[in-house]
Parts: sequence; C-alpha cells; structure tokens
Amino acid sequence: MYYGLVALLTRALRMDARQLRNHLFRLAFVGFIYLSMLMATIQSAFLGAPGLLFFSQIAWLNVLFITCAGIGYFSSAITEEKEEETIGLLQMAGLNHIGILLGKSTSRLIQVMLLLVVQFPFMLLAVTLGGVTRHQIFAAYVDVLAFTVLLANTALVCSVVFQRGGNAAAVTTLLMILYAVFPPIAGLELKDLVATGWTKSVWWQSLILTSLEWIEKSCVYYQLQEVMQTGFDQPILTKQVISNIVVGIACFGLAWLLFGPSVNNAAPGGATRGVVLKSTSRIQFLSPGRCWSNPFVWKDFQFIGGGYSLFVVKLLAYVMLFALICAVSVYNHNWLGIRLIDVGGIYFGCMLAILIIEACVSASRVFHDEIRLQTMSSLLMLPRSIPYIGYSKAIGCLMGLAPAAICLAGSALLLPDFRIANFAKLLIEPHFWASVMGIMIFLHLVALLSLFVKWGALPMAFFMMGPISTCCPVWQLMFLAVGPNGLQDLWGKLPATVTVWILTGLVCFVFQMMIAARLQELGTK
Amino acid sequence: MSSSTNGNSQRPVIEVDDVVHSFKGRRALDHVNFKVMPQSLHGFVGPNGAGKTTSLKIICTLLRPQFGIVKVFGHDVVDEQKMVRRKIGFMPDHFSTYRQMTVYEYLDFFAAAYGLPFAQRTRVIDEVLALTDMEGRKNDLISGLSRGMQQRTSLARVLVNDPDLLLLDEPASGLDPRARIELMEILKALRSMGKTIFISSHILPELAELCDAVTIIDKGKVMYSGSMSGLQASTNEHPTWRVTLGSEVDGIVDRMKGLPGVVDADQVEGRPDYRVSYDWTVTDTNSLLRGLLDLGVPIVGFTEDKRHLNDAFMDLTTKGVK
Repeated sequence: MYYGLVALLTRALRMDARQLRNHLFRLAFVGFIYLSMLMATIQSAFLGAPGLLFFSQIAWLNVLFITCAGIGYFSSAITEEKEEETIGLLQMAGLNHIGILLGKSTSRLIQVMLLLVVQFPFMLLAVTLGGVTRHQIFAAYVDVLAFTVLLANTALVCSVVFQRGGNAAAVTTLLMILYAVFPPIAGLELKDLVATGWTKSVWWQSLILTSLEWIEKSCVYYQLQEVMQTGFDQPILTKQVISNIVVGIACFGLAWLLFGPSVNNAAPGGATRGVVLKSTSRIQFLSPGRCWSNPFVWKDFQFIGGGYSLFVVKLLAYVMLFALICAVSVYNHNWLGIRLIDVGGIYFGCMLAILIIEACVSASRVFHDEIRLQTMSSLLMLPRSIPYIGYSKAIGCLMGLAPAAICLAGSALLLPDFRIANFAKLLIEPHFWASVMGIMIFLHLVALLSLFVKWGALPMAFFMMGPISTCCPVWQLMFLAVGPNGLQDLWGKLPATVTVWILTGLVCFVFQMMIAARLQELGTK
Repeated sequence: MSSSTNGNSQRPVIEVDDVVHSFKGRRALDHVNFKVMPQSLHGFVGPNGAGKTTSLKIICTLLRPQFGIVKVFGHDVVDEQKMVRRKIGFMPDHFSTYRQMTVYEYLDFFAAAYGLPFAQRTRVIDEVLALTDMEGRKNDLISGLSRGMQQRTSLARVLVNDPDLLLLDEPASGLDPRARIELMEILKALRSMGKTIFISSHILPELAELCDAVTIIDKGKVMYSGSMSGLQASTNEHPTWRVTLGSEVDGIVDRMKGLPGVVDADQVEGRPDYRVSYDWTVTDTNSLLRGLLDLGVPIVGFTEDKRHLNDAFMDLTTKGVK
C-alpha cells in the first residue's frame, strides 16, 4: 500500500533530480533574478525603493510563469498517460489511484515549488536594496505557493476528467480566467448587497457576504498587489492562502473520486473529433465530406480548425457575444459602465483578442498534432515538398480563423471613427505593421517550439518573446524604423513600412526554414 | 488494383550497394549489400537494433545514406526521391494514422495527397477497402478500431497510390494470431497481383511460409541475402521434411533413420508427424519419398519443414551471445 502510494512520486522526483536540464532551468531562473537585481542596484542611484521594484518584478514574473506554463504542465499530468494508453499499465503495476495522482501531479507541484524555493534566498537580498520588508517577501512567496497548489489541483481535476491534454488545458485556462475575473465581480456585488440590504435573514446575509468576501480575497493577483503596498503588515496566512490551499486539497480529493469512473469509462483510443461531424450524421452538410484537391488544407481546416460545424458554432458564439455586449450597454445600471457608443470598440477589442488567441492555439497545433500522432513519416513519404505541406496546413488553419476574422472586420465597421480613408492610412502605418510583425513572429515561434516540446509551447514562446524583443538585432532594427527619430521621421511612413515588411519576411523565412528542417528530422525518427 | 508491370523483370527492384550509416558514432549499417527481385516477397529479419528500420528508411527516402548507393526501380533514392516515392508504399512500425478521422476520410486524404483525381479516388478507395476487408468499417473512427483493424487501415493507406513496391516495417507486431494470419493472407494476395513486398518482421515461421527470399542482418551487417532454399545451403543445414502418417506406427523412427541419406528423424510430440532430415549430397527429396513409401506406411502428408529460418536466424545472429 505504502509502496504503491509513493513509488511513482519518488521516481518522478528522482528523475527530476537526475535531469541536468531541470537544474539548468532553475539556474537560468536564478540567473535572471541576479540580472534583475543588478539592474535594480543600478536603478537605486536614481530611484527610490529599488528593492520593492526588483521584488515586485520577480513576484509578478513568478505568478505569470506559473499561470502560463503551469496550465499546460499540470493539466497534462494524467492526460498524457491516457493519450499514450499507459494508464492501465500503471494500474497493473500495483499503483492505486492516489499513488498515480501523487506520482503524476504532486511530483510536478513539488518541482514547481522547488523553482520558487531556489529563488527565495536571493530574493531576501531585496531587503538590503531597500523599499521592501522580509515580511512582504515571505507573504508574497506563501501567496504564490498557495496559488500553485490551487492551479496544480484544478488542472489535475481537468486532467482526470478529459481525455486529451488540449481540452484539459483549455478548461483549466477558462477556470483561471474565471478565477481572475470573479473576485472583482464579487467585490462589486458585495458593495451592492451591503447597500441594498437584500434580505432580512441575518444568517443568510452573513453567509453570502462571508462567501463573497472570501471569493473577493481569493485571487493571488489582487493579493500580490496588496503585498506590494508600502507598509503591508497583514498576517502571512491570508484568506487567499487559506482558500487556495483548501480548494486545492478539495480538488485533489475530487480528482481522486473521479479518477476511477473517468479512466474506466474512457473510450478506447482516447481520440475523439470534438464537434466535427461524421458523414453519417443527420446534418451531413456540416461533416468534412470528401477531401478537397488540396488535402492538407482540407485536413487542417476540418480537424484542427474545427471544420464546418465549429465554423458555424464559432460564428454564432461571436454574434451572441455582440448581442450580449449590446444588451449590457442598454441596461441602465450595468456595473461595467458600458454605453451604446462603446459597443463597437469593446467588440472590436474582444474579437481582436479572440483572433490572436485562436491563431496562437492553431500555431501550437498545426505541426504538433502530426508529431503527436506519429504521422510525419507518412506525410514525408508523399510526393510533395515540405514547404507545400507546411503552407497548405497553415492555410487550412487560417481558414479555421475565418469566423473570428469576419466578426473582427464587422466590428471594425462599428468603430465610432471608422472611415475607409482611415483604414487605408492604417495600411501604410509602420506601427500597425510592427504590431502585425510582432504577432507573426510570435506565431512562428510557437509553431517552432511545438516541434521541440511535448507541451507548453505557447507559454514558452510568451516568455521567450521578452529576451527576443530585447536582444534580437532584427527587433532593434524594427524599433529603429518605427521609433521616434527613426526611419519614419527621416524618410516618411512608406519606407519605414516597407522596412518592417522586409524585416518581417526575413525573420519569418528563417523561422520557416527552421520548422522545415525540424519536420524533416522528426519524420526520419 | 492493377498488377505491376516491369519492363525488365530481371532487374532488381531494390539495390542496396555498400551502404554505411551511423548515428552518433554508432554504426547502424556497415557496408550493407542486398538485392530484392521483382514480384517477390522478400523477408528482412534481424534482432532488435540490427539496422532493419534504418535500412527501410533509407530505401523509402526518409533517410539519406551516408555512404553507398541505394536504387529503387533503378532510381537513386537521393537524386530521384520523387520518382521513388511515387512507386513505393511504406508502412512504418507504428500506427501512422489520424485517429480522429474515419477510415474513409483517412484513405481519401492520402489518395488526394498522391494527386489522384476525384473519380479515381472513389474507385481506388473502394478497391483497397475490399482488398483489406474493411468495407464494413469505412465510416468508423480509426481511434475506435482494434489494433489489427488499424494495421489493415495502414496497409490500405499504403495501397492507395497502387505502389509497385511495398515496404512493411514489422506489420505483424502486436497483432493477435487471427489478425496476423489475415494480414499474411492479404500479403499473399498482393504478391499474386504482382507487387514486390519487402517485409521486416520478427515472426519467422510466417515469414518462412510466405517469403521467396530473405535477408538476415545483424549488428548492421548482412549475414545472408538470397533465396530461402539457398539459406539452408549457406548454413550447412540438412533439408527437413515433415511426414504425416495416417496413424502412429511402432518403430517407424528407427526405420526412417535407416533410409539412405537420412541423417535424423524424430516424432512431433503427440502426433503422427515425423521430421526427417537428409543429407542433400547423398540423396534428394524424390528418393526420400520413394524410400518412405517403400516402408509401407500410410503417408497422408509430405511437406517441407520451414523451421530452418528459425535455426538459420539463431545460427547467424546469436554467435556473439554464444
């Protein structure tokens, strides 16, 4: 019993201890802290409280990193076993459900905690820089650790329930968005409830108010803001810490309860096609149908982009989003303060964000799915070149973005200051193209990283964009082209725009060469 | 499916000439030479890590040989990659399938990827589904198919472009006996259609039953390449025949041993089956059969015992272990 409980956990920790890569990663994190500290020391000559600045930078970096990377890392704990169909082998090896959960998820939680622990002594140096107390540092680390427990176990539940890592990660992301959005709403509701005196029952009032208060205080993002305030003197065990740990443990218990039914009732093979309909379904016209003349475009549109059925679902969802924003704006007492005139701008912002997120997800899947399904060698055997296959696949994925793109274009028409002339001007605006370049490079980076890592290409790319934008000479050239006193001021907008185009093309070309080389390499493995 | 036609039937389909390939300093293929003749079913056997998959990947153009020349239908695998790819079908040792697709969608995708026009695609898919006996499962998701069915789907995929040469890497691994036998039947059917099949496998008795020729590779070196009959001569083995009698006869083993040229005879446990080995320098199969008939026993079966591939494999590949 005891052996089964800890066998996998011990093995995972031993593996972690033996792998040089993990230690190097932690060392890199410490190196980054050292660099930040160095910068803070330099800044101390002309800034007050450099220690607080340094500390807040690292604390936010930790939270951001754990949120982004942790979603993929924790939510793949059980799904990876399901996808590889090895969960039965683990059970046959005598590991009970709790042993598997501890071994697969808790070991990952400990690994992330080690990342925090290893930085802690260095962070204490922030006290000597001034502006921050030791109590604040302790409080911040405890907050982040509690949040890590919550995230790990929430993702674990998703990992147990869902068959595929992608679905588990998507639902975990949704839950984390709710976790970030819900507390301010709870705060607003709390004020309203207090003001209106909604019920005469003191017990109910007390219960609801207490619950809302706990929800309001449960989010690490808002708690950290409080910790960073000068003069912070709250106890270390705040409501955020307690609620996060309690919910985390409850989630672990839930994962344990759901493990048996979920794993035993899993469909053989583990792969489903989501909303993609079969040709034998009643609404046959929404099924993928016969392959197009370019099969790669067809395949990626139907099975990565979601096909006709997801096209319709997404289009309806985005139209409903518009209707929702309109409904909120016409409601006189909406707490968001949205007016009818703001609808176009808000909808445009939402659709732009959705389009970028969808593009990122597609970029992370476009080649990764071939690696996951081990189909690269079969594709390479076709009498088609790698660029043909790659570009066709990219077109297929882009077609899947059409609903968001259509709605974005529609929302642009609703912008209060929308004029065709303004739109034309935008097309020769170097800043606009610089933004497009940034997104293009990011998508290429995501696609490339997805060929190297099993999970987490998206958060990894997100974090790599920082060093790339600071160190990459092409990026510096782009700033030179569009920045103040740059090419734009010297020669005008068009040459600056053309320079941005050339630079974008150059960087994307290099990325595409790297992707092609990696695909070839993976196909021969 | 159309039968393959080769202008020059004597020209080898695959010519592997002095190929060397290394991975991180470890030599996977060490001056490998062999030929595969047209319309043959050529077995490729060797222990794990012997270099089988590397050889197959070089032949199917996925890997470039570091030294040596490989030609498929006379086309160099490095310089004429596209020509080679159009003529071959490669089935890797793992299920290379899109599990979220139905069988029909999967085959349709690959048929279109090979550039087949719409009408031809429909016909070809129907043919390969019939050949692999998958017609009833064409609308099933691949993820829901059994291992044997998935393997058949992979084989159907390999056949959509009507290749003249099939390269199959461990097609029977992990299959249950029924699925394995069914797969072998499909391979026999394909051979009868004029396809050349180059098959890597560990299941030696079935290969021995099926193959016209064999290449045995060990530690990157070819230990034997040629016809199945030549394998016996190369390993100095005595030809062995299996004699099935209508009923058990007392003292028959000793009487068999007394026949001219017979070097060994033994009974298969619990059955009236006897294995008789003879020295081919002294006698031949006809003389052996005549001698057995002269013994006056009721012979109901007389077949060549294919166990020799097992023995040859052990002899040629385990010397280091011994």
